[in-house]
Amino acid sequence: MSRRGSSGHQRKQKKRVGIPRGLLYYYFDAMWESFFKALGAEVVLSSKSNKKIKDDGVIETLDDECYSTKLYHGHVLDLANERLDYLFVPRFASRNKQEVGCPKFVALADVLQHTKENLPPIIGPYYSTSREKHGFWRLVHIIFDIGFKFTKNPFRIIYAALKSLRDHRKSMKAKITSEKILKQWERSEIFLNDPPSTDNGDEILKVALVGHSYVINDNFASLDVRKKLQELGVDIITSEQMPRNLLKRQLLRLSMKNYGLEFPEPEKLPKKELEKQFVGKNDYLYFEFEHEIVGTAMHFLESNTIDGILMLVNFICGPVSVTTEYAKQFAKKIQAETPLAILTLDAHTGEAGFQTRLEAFSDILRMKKSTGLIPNSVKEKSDFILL
Amino acid sequence: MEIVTYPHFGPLTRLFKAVFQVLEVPEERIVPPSVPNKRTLDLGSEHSPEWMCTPFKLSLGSLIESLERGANHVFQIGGIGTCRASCYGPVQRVIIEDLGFNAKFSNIDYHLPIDMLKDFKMVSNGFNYLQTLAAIRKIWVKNYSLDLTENLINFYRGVETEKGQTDKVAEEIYDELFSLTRIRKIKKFHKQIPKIFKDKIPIDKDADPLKIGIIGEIYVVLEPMLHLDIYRRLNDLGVVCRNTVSLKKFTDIPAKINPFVKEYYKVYREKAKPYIQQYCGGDGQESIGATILLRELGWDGMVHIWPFSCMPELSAQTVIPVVSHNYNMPVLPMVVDEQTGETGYQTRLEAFVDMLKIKRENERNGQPPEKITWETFNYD
Repeated sequence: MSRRGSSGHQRKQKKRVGIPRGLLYYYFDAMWESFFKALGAEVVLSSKSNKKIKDDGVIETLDDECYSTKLYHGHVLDLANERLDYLFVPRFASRNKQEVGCPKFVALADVLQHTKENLPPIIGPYYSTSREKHGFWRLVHIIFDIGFKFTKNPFRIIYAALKSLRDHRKSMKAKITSEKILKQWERSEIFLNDPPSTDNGDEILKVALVGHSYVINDNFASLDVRKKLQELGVDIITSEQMPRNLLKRQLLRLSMKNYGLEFPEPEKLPKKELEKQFVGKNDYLYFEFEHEIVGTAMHFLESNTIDGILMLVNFICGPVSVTTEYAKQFAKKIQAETPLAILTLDAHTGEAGFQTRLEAFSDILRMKKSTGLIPNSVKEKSDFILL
Repeated sequence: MEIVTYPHFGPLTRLFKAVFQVLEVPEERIVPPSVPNKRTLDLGSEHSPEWMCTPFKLSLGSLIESLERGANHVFQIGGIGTCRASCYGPVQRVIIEDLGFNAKFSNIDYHLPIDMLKDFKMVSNGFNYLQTLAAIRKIWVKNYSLDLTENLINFYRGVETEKGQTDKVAEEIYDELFSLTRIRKIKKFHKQIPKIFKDKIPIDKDADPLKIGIIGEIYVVLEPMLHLDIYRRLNDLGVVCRNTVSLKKFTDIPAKINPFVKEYYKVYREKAKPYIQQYCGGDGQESIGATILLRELGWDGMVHIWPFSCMPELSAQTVIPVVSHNYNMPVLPMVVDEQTGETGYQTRLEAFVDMLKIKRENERNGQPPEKITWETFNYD
């Protein structure tokens, strides 16, 4: 008896699309899932990251590949056992004129296709606004190209596209806070994430958890950092929750003379005035997914409204090496008082060591909160950047 | 007074020197970068982010050395790129500011030729746009000759009978090339270069050298400090080699404008399409394309060098074993960074060359080898 017959379905079997739970999935999860569902396909996600996925990924990839890519390869291998019709790995380059993603995203589909055996056909649409000047029509082309693989009804494809965009906006809206809410959080009036435990009777610390969405939302890769912080009595805001116009403003100031410190709201300046303030031509941070990292760090370093910033980075992530440098230099420049810790994660990071460093960081923050300053003996020995 | 400087970047250093000469920038207003040494790399690594790619560290070190010698206007890459290369200017500006130097940055985006023109006009000795363009024209014309000379060196040094003869001839040619100022004369001289080599260098007629191509990230492939003089090392092992990347990619404006000419890297990219469909930054696609192309031309092997943590080359390197298997083309992967040791490097090259020799013997099956000359070696 065939597999199809044994399931007892009389109707046509739904086509199954596999999506690896890694990298860009954490930015576009709502969009992709609702698009394929509305097209009448069954979405198969790989299981959440676990030790087997990590080990598989580490064996499959080169040594100097970044940790997230290693995990992604593991996720694809996890999906290889499923009976899939397609695998969805987009070749995403950029969605804005002056922004690009990571170059690895573009080659990922090809790399998978050529290095793994028994993979289903890959759906890998290429979209690049900055390099190829793709726009609306390219998007329409991609949508119909994918849509006709699942249905012959063009209206259903249009419906699916619109629905997925709506769902994407909805999920973004639920995630991102407004500046008003951010102010409320800074004044400790509300919690944006799960409330921290107060079992120890310590005062609640406020920390910004900064990093790529695929690092801080992956509980395995980030070694459950959210829960660990919660247990340490730390209230967090993540970088993906930050208001977008605030991030945009910080980014603008990055290419201004002296970080635009004299201008609290540079976007309100007249255009000519603004142009005079720029350091020069061709001076941008064009990595799209770094904007929230560097913007969040700059905002809290400057406003000094929270107790500390915790930056989680993956080992050998290329774009992050640029971002951390910007954050460090900005902290140095303005003599920031908010401590900034940069913790590196990779396939060999031990849980106990990570826990110890988090505890040390929270202890230092508590010390600073109660006495107002950090003793020099701690400053000298600490791995964290304390000014 | 603005004193111009630029990072050391293999042959580009010579080119830039020529440009400023042509633009009539007085000599006291240029600080040419000194040849990088261990200190340059250490200086750069000390002030760079830890995981930044090695070319960034080298160019930063090179810039700091120039700034110490009094420069205050820096030419560096900028704009919107795909990999980190276009971040060099902006990030180095921040670092150099922090070190206490007061320097102005002109970030050149090679996608925008008009901006480039403006930058060069600014530093020139009161030139207008037309004059600047005429001056810059000499860059690409000279670059053709530079490329040709370099390929000739890497060929003749492998088969010369008298060691050191090629280097002598090359020096003469470089001197001659940079003393010429009129375009017509440069073009005339360009045609004579292969003949000069042929006449002046006695070659071993019975030589049966291996042919190896160097693929990889452009800065590493062109900068002797980073690739640890791989061409000379290979030549000393009795191998003829050539690089598959060239500064033509950025400077060859006539080919960019002319719709009937296909630039060299586009040929490579087309070859690479079945393996990596879309441009993934840097020279990732070119590395794959060149491997396929050179196999079809009957070359023996490739050396792939890339700086540690280079993103596009990593994608390429993940696919290259498959290409290598499909086309039966051996590729030696070499990661370089500021701590690469010479001995290990040399040993790996020697082992690779020995293996290639064995492979060639087996494939030939006792047939006599074809005679190699510059004409059969060159495929441009």
